Amino acid sequence: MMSLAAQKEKKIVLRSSDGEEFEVEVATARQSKMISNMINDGCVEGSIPLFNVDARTLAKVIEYCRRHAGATRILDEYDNPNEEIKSWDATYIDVHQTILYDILQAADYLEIKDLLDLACEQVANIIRGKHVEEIRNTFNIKNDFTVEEEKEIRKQHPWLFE
Amino acid sequence: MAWSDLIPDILRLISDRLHHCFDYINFRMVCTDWRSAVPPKKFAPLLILPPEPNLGDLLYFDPADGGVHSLPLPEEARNKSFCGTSRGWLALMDDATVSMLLVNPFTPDVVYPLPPTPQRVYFTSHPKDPSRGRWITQHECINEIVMSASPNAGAECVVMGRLGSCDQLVFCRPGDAVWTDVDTHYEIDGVAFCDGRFYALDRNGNILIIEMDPDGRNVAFKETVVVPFESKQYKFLEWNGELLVVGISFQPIYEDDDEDDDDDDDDGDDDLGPFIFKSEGLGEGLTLSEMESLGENTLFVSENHCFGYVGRGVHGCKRNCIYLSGTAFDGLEGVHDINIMNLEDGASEIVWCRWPSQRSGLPRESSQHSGAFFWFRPSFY
Repeated sequence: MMSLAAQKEKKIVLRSSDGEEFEVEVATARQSKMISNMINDGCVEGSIPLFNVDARTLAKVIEYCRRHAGATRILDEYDNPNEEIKSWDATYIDVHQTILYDILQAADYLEIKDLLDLACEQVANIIRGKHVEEIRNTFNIKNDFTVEEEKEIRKQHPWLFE
Repeated sequence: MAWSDLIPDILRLISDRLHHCFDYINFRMVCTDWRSAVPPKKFAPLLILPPEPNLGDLLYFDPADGGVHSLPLPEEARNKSFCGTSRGWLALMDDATVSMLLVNPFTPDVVYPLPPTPQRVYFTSHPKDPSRGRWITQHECINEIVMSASPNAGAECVVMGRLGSCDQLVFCRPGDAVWTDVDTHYEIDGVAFCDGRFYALDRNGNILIIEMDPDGRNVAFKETVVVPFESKQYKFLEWNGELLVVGISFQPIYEDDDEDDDDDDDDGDDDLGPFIFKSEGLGEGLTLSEMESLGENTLFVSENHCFGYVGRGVHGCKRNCIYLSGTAFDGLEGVHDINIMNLEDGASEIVWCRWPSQRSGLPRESSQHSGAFFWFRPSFY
């Protein structure tokens, strides 16, 4: 294992699915469990190809990792995320649905748990209080239930216990 | 690449954050992929809160997320008093015209009129000269209803109503012009519909079969068994084709207990705890057996109303517990307590629900809460 100072100096190159290269600090890259495992296994010579993440998404994800790797204190004295980082996260994740979708996929693929949680919470926030049709419109989802299926669903509703 | 194609793991991470029943249900109704990725859940009934004046919404508390939410009511249902709920329908009364209707907040396009609030004629004697009394007519508010079927089922649906002031019953079918009186000397506490018949429970713990003749106009009572424990008020409900009698606080027959000095509560209610009896067999051969435990089930009852619900594996609720919505007759506006009584260890815990009322923090006015604080089980049909 390298010392923290050495990690900070050393850079790693990530290559997006559309071929763009991003040079990032090791501490930033290690926010991703997948990349962190690769670093530990010593297989990061040259650049790391990320086939599932395009340049736009990767730039956005790196922005998150850099902020979180650079935060001196992410947790307050009660082990809750501190107010500063919470407010940064809230602004960061307030993005259009298409970007949010890409972040979700990338966070899952790169195994960045905190970012995945943040994105899932944002999706849940968008869904809360909306009707089914509003949710479909928001996420551009087609209703693929047949009329019969929809009728059946309404009958087996979750308050008919047993 | 589309939202419907998200992998099930991510869809579950999202749905796990949707604690409010309707958010979760809506999530599963978006598309087939979302539905199959996320398991079904059973939800607790909703606790209906007093209506806010000039607000057209139905305010309710959801035990699953511990929050107070609102639901828009159709125009015809606004600013009316609650007269009971059954099968996901609300019986409402217009205070000015005493007309009544049935509305399901989830199918707001269909509203069924009910006969106006029944009138009763009383003889009141003159305070000084008993021979000089007079007859007066008075409206009797219905405070609970039980329906044999959804009103969508047509003539199959009989609405049994309990008059709050005199513990008597009336019934009708949607479309009737008037309520029909049920003539009886029993003081009816609760009504339940079970296996094709109405049953009633009277003040003395008698479980009665309500026998309706084929044309559904004449009604007779047949006694079955008496609940072996006394209670200040019984809860009477149908559960899985059985009847359930619940006593929450009851007066002990032997109140004298010398060793009970450290107990400040003289009537001893807290020591005795709740009891639950379940029917064994129905009809004339009905007997009761005491239930020591609810197992995986949760029971929802209210101090103000006689009915309740039982659910198995209810999301966000504790097993083997009674959720008792507190009395409406004291307390402050904008706050209400639910007592969660654990049958396993006898422990109880209070959950507070708070909502932004225009009169928050002020003593509750009796006129404001008419009929509120009851458990409501939504139905989309």
